[in-house]
Order: sequence, then structure tokens, then C-alpha cells
Amino acid sequence: MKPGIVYSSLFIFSSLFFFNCKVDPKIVPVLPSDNISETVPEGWPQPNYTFSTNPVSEAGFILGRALFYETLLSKDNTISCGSCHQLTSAFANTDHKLSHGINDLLGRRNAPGLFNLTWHTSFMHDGGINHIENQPPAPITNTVEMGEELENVVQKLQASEKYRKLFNDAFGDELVTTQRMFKAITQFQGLIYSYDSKYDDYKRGKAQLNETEKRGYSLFLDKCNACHKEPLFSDFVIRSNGLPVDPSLNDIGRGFIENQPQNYYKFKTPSLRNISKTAPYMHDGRFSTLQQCLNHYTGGITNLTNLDPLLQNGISMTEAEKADILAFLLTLTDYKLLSDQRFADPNFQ
Amino acid sequence: MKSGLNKVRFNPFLLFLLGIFLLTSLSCKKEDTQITPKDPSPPPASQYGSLYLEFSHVVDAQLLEFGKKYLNPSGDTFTVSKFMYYISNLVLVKEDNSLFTQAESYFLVDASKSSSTKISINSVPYGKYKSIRFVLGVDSIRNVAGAQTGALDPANGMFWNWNTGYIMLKLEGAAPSSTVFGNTIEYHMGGYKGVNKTQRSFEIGFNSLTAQVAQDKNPKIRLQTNINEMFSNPNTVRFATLPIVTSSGANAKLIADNYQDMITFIGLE
Repeated sequence: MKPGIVYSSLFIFSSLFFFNCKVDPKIVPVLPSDNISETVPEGWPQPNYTFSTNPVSEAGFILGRALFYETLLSKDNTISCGSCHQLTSAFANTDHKLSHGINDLLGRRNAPGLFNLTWHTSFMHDGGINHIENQPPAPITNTVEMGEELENVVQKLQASEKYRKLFNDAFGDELVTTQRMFKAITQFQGLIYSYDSKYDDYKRGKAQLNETEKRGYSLFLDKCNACHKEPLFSDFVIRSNGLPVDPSLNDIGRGFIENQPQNYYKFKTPSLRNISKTAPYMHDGRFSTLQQCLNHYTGGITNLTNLDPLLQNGISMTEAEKADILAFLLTLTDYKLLSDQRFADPNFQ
Repeated sequence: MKSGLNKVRFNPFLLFLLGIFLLTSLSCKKEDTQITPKDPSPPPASQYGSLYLEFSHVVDAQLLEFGKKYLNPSGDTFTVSKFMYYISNLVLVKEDNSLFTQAESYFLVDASKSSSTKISINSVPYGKYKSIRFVLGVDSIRNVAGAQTGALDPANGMFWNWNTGYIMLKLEGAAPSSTVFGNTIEYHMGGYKGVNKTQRSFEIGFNSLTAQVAQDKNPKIRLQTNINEMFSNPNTVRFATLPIVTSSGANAKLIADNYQDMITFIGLE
């Protein structure tokens, strides 16, 4: 055998092997996935979920990200989690009051922002889901959202060369199971942190709030913080804030989960972080501006059924005070998160 | 140096070995790092055997057949199209009251799949067993423990995705007295906590017989699940008034209180 042939065939053979280890750029574009790890910002409480049974890895995160943006999860392969949860809106849904599902179906509720989820004690507006790993099957199987059966999702992913590879990278073999899917999605969703707003910098002594924002912060602590408790800007309690019931939706909120009168019209208190980017507001997206939200608390409370005790007399705020609070709320936007390419759609870049 | 290189160049076999070495080192296959926890004092393998549980499904004295007409204890006619339930947390009680607890014991019994109605319990220590304990349903811990797999995979259709929790038992069918579309009857028994929990614990003795697990002795315990137990004692359930129960709460509790004795011992082989 001629040495040239030996060398070249050896080179080709090893190259094949070598490149086999690399992610095919045509299949999975390479987005950054560095510094992916669990974090507890200084001064924050311990999170509710700690990944102790779902150890974080780069491959797990990459798989979770691919699944989050994967339309195969829906019945007609058109909708992904990312369809209604957009990075630039802190993973809320820009402009959509209610979620848009397959076949032009309209969902029942507004898609909330997704960040700091490991501190949440329950999921969805009615808090019906008790564990972050059990959240993904709800929108996947909801007939007006992704409308697909879990069994079909597993089959579609198992049939995909791309996913066999990604599951192998993350879990050591190519087997697709719902458990692996949900754990991987949790490695993506659960690692979306938001703690780099102007407010956070202010708390760390790295930035100044102007006079309006400072007044707003002080008013916020006085009037809003009892429910929208810092640093997460929610206590995650499920309560009624007195919104009049929309007759076309007749959404009884927590009543769907625990069907007793005392649970009707209660919804989970949302975080106010990134609130300037997550419009429209409330569980059904009825308000398009923060001003409308503040106006609700000063004069809009009409549904008294199960109204939270803290809101029995509404919240008194002058127009000037509202303006100050609004200015403060704008300091809660985490621009670093909104453009963090680690959380972007790997199919579009 | 040059002569050494020539030597390598003219030895294809050595090159081949070098190639293999490179391939091995570049390969991205990970070493199998899974460590199987070892029992500190494992009894000899010969001291373990198998035991089987076999479930048969009946409506009172009649064997269950899908689509066949039966009467409930109130005399209401009904048919069955689906019947599934979880059996979990198996514990075998020896004659001396010592216990053998089966680890990871979660089984989904589906009346339409004969393979699912026979449960194998392997690695049972040799001995004579007088009763068995289990939970009809899934314990509360697994209801709050995040993503599960195997029998507990939510793809099995025994899980509420919007209101986390397992369906402990599912019965679907039809009854002329049901006023719901299609005369449907549907009982998805769920709810794992508080007063309205629907999982139920059983301890079933073998009528003073003992199930001996020994070399060449792998006993089969035959159990019977009677669907009509869901509809009476202590609570009378009529299809006209309660055709559908698909959420947790007081109605689910009514039926769970009925089915807490639906599984009985019928024989040992």
C-alpha cells in the first residue's frame, strides 16, 4: 500500500469520526451556551427547585432549548413554546391578549413571562401545576394551544436524527422519553434568570435611581410590595384582585383546580420584573398599559367575590404617585436578559 | 528522526494502530459512569425468587367484557369501554410479620391489556408470606416529585396535565340513565392530598394460606377487582345523578370511599 493512500484514507476515516462528535451546523446552529448554571443572586431566598434530581449540563440545556423552540411538539407541527413565549418580551407574548394555538384557536389566558421560575411554588395562572418539570405537558396537550398527545411527541422526536443525537448528548443514549424531555426543558426554562435590571444594580450600589424613581420605589414598598414582594416581585400567592369577570371567558381561575366557591376568580400573583415588556396585562391580557393596571387598583375593583383582604379598599394613589410608581416599574426591566443569545431560538440566527 | 519517520511510514500496521488510538481518544462516547448502588450485605442470589399477582376484573359475579351490559347495585344498566388503575407500593408480609418492600413498585393495570394484569415481583426473599399490602393509586410523594417515567409516564393517559396529579383509577363507559351526550359515564379518580385524596391502601390476606417463595416455588396470588364496588357501600352512586367525575373533590372522595374494598383475594397457585 502506498503511504499516501494510507495517510489520506486514515485522515478521511478519522475525520469522519472526529466530525461525528461535532454538532452538525446545518442541524443545530451553535448559539452560546456557556456559563449555564444554577444561580442564587445575593440576598435572594433559596429557590423552590434546585435541580438536585436533574443535574444541569450544557448538553441538557442545549436539548431543552431545542425542545422549547420545537414545533414538532404541536399537533400540526406549527407551534412551539417559543411561539407564545418570546425572549424579547421576557418570554411573555408580545401583543397577544390570549395565546394563539393550532388551527387559529384562541387560548383562554395570557402567556406570562418566564424567568426566575425555580422560585415559583406553582405554575400557570391558576397555580394548578405543582412542579416545574410537570409544566411542559400542559400547553403541549391543551387542545387550544399545541393540541398534541405526548405519545406522538415522543414518536416524532424519536424519529428525528437531530433529536436522537441531542438526547444521546444529554442523557447518554438516544432514547426519547417524556421524563427526559421535561427535565431538559426544565434545564432551559429553569435557568432563565432575571436579576440584572437597573433596580438590581441600584440595590448592589452600582447604579443610581433618579428622584422620580426613588419616590416611586418608596411608594411601591408602601402600596404594592405586600403582594409583589421584592426581590422576586411576587409572593406567588393565588388571590383575587377584583377584576370584573369577562362573560365570554367566565374564567373562574383557581376554581378550575379546586372547585369550591372560595377559590373562584383567584389567580397567581405575577412577578413585576420586566413588566414594561410583558404587555398586555392580567390573566386575560385585558389591559394594554401599566397605567390601566394602576387605575384598576384605584378605581376599577368591581368583583368582590373572594377579593383579597389587602384590596378591600382598593389602593389609594394620586395621579402624581402613579407616575412615580410607573417610573420605578420601568427600572425592573432586565435588558441583559432580553438580548441574551443563550436563550434565543436556535432555528433563527 | 528522518529514519524513524520512514520506519513508521512503511509500516501500515503501526499506522493502523495509531489510527485506532486516535479514533478512540477523539471519540465522544462517554464512559459509562453509572454506578449501581450495592447492598452492603447482599444475600446469596439463590435466596431470591419471584411472586406473581394476577388481577381479574368482574362486575359482581360476571367477568368483565367491554361493551357487555351489566347492572350496578342500584339496578342501573351500564357498559364499560375502559378500566385502568395504578397498583403501587407493594409490601409482602411474612408469617413472622417481617416485611419485604418492593422498591420502585408502580404498575398500571389496564383491563384491555392482559399483559398488564399480571404483575411480577422479582427478587423476593425466600419465605412464607401471609398477606400483601399495596396502594390502589399513586402515593402523594410521586404526585409532587416532578417528571416521572415508566408506569408513571404522563403519556399513559393517567395524569392530569393542567392540575398536576395522577388519575388513580379510570372507568369509562355508557349508561342509558346518563343524560350526558352519548349516555357517557366517566370516572377519572384523582386528587392525592387532604380529605379528598383518592388513593386507597389495601392489606389483603390469603385466607390463612401462605404464599411460599422458594427454589422452584413462585406462587401466583389471584386477586379480583369488582367494578360494582365503586357504586355502593357506603355511598350510592347513580348514573343519572353522577355520570361524570373527572376532577378531585367531594364526588371523587365518595367513589374512592366505595372502592377501598374493591380488590379481594380469590386464590393462590
